[in-house]
Amino acid sequence: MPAPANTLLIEGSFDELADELAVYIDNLKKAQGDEGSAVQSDVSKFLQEGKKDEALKSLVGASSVLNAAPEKELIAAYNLLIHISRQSENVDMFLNRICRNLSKPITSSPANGSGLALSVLSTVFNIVPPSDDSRYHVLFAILEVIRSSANFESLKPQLQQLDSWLVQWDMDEEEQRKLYLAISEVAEEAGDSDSAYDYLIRGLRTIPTNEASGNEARPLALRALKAALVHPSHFDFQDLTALDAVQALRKSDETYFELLELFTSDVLEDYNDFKDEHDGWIEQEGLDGAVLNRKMRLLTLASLAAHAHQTRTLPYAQIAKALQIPSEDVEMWVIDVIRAGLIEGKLSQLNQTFLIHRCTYRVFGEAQWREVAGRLDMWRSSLEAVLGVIRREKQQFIVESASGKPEKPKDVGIVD
Amino acid sequence: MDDKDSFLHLARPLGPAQVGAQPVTAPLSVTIQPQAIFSILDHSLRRNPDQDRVIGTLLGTRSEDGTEVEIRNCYAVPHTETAEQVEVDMEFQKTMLSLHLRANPREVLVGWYATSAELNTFSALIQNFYGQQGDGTWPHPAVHLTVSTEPGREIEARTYISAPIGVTAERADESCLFIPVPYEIKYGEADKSGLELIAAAKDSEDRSVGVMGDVESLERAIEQVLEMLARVSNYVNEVIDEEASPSNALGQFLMNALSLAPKVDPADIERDFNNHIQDVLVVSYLANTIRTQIDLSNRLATAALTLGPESTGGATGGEGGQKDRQDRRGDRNKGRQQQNRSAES
Repeated sequence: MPAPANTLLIEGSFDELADELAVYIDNLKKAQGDEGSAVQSDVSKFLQEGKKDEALKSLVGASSVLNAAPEKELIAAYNLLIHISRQSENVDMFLNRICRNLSKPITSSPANGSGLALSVLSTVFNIVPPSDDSRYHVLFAILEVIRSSANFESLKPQLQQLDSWLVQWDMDEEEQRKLYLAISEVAEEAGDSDSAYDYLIRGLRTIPTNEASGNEARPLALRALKAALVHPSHFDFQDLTALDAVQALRKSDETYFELLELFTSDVLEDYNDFKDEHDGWIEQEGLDGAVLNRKMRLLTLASLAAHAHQTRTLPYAQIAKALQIPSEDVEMWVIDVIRAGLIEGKLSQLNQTFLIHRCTYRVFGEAQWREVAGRLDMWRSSLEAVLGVIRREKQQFIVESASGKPEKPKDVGIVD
Repeated sequence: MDDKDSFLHLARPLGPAQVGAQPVTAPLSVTIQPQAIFSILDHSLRRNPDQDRVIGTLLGTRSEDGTEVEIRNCYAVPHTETAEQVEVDMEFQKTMLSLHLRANPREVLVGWYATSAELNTFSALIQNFYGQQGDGTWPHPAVHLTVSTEPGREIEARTYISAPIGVTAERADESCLFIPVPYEIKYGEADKSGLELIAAAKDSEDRSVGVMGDVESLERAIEQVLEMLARVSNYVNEVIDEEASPSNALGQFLMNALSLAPKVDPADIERDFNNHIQDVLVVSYLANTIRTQIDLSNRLATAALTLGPESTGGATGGEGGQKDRQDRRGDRNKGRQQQNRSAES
């Protein structure tokens, strides 16, 4: 059963409601010193002639003054306007106009203005049928308000439904990209670099293969690449390398692509070679060298741990050598890598070794999949064995209790 | 119940300002405990045949800033609805509310429910009644929960709060805009296994199902895990055979999860299991012994009363090996004899 289509419940005919709203708008205008306002007379004239749309046009046209309404009445007045706009044939046109009004600042309530605007905008969004692509434009208006109020937090959980919305609205790739990029920018401004990166990648995925090397794709791919490189907690570069647009950089921006490959699978030594080869390039491109160095060290340690997964131990000396750090700093680095979530394990100061419990594989290839399959089989076989034991015990228990063998201490019974 | 409608909830309408606090427009979310849904469904089953829907009051808790509402409890409120008017027994509602609050002082009034997904102008009236100043949820918005109870259809729940609509006071009283808000039905682990047990009876003829013992549920759980493992390894094998497209994130996740998977030897398990069984048997032996002792001492106490001091020794003879018990009994019997004597003299 679909949700109730109508959530605006108000009694009264179109004419009555339109008239009331017109009076209200006139009063507001007068309060602002605009004595010549005559929305009501226009509206009543149109209504008498039966021209609903004309009446609505003059109402919606004058509705920007509602932004100056007292904050308690603002939502009620806008809701009424939405309600009567819905009774027209050209509802999209009016809603569009209302959205534009709401994107402007609300003068009467500087503190809660964005909240009020968001509240009305989400009402507009909700009353448009889910499959109608007008929602797409309303969402843009919402993003505009979110951007001006730096309120990305409240939008973020709602964006989980974004994928299903895009399917429902039947958007083409270009429109999808526009939306993803807009969200990414808003997130960036709100300081949420994780989400910003996430939506940037999703935007990049919408670029078709044949346009991957185009002029539009290149700056985006570069932006994503830079963001991923300097992001303090982003360590998986395989999603980037899988993108067509990023692959296209192999031709246009060789050095960047080389750097990406280094970060995908290589270790600190290779990175240092790269730095020697392209002296000053990192600074020149505005990348933070310190961040990159640190990240490379963390990744190198993860690789080391992955190589040592047979023995599950790493001597301190080996870590110090690979990371090119003094041996007294080893523990600090290991703790940093653990904190970054790349590995888990225990430090043994006595034996000067690091015991690995779990490690992240930077490149997840066939060997790793085989290992997963092997572990799954192992788990399953041991569980099956457990199940066998339980079944046997149960059987035995039933047999024993059936044969009347005193399994339970019944013989302590009461003498009466 | 889990197909969500697509809607946005970004900000709630501006509520009246509390003293000393800024009015907030932070969005709101609702958590529903399953027992509230159950009593709503029960109420819907017991309604009069001529009533399309029945309503009731929701009780629960609200976080300090009012952004999280948890519905824990509810009770039915009688009402009649005709084409022209709706009547809600307000006196009943008030009395019930005060009684409930006395029994559960931590719960507060959070809103109301209706057993139909439909919203109409009467809903708006009732919503305004629940949200009003004084007896209502003011200054917080009242939550309206609709649970569709059409036979043969899926049960769907929806939660709303309301915003005013209209520019004149008379209009605003009788109307409102329902704003859908996200909700979540929260099951605890215990609730869930209880519900699963009850649901197991739904396909059987006599509508009854036995409660499983520990060993059976352990067996069942292992079977379930094996089933899930089979599904996962199916996927992994497909990846290895290059039939399914590999996902690095998924692989990494599996690897992490599996690094903790225990490797156990069947012989170890058998030994541990038997050891554990012995422990359990010892516990149950001890529990039985204690129960017997309690029973025994009760009987002895009454035996002394009914049979008098002379015959008690014969009644319990041969049983025991519990020295201290006999001693105590002896003491008690002594006391009894003294009493009897003093009564005679």
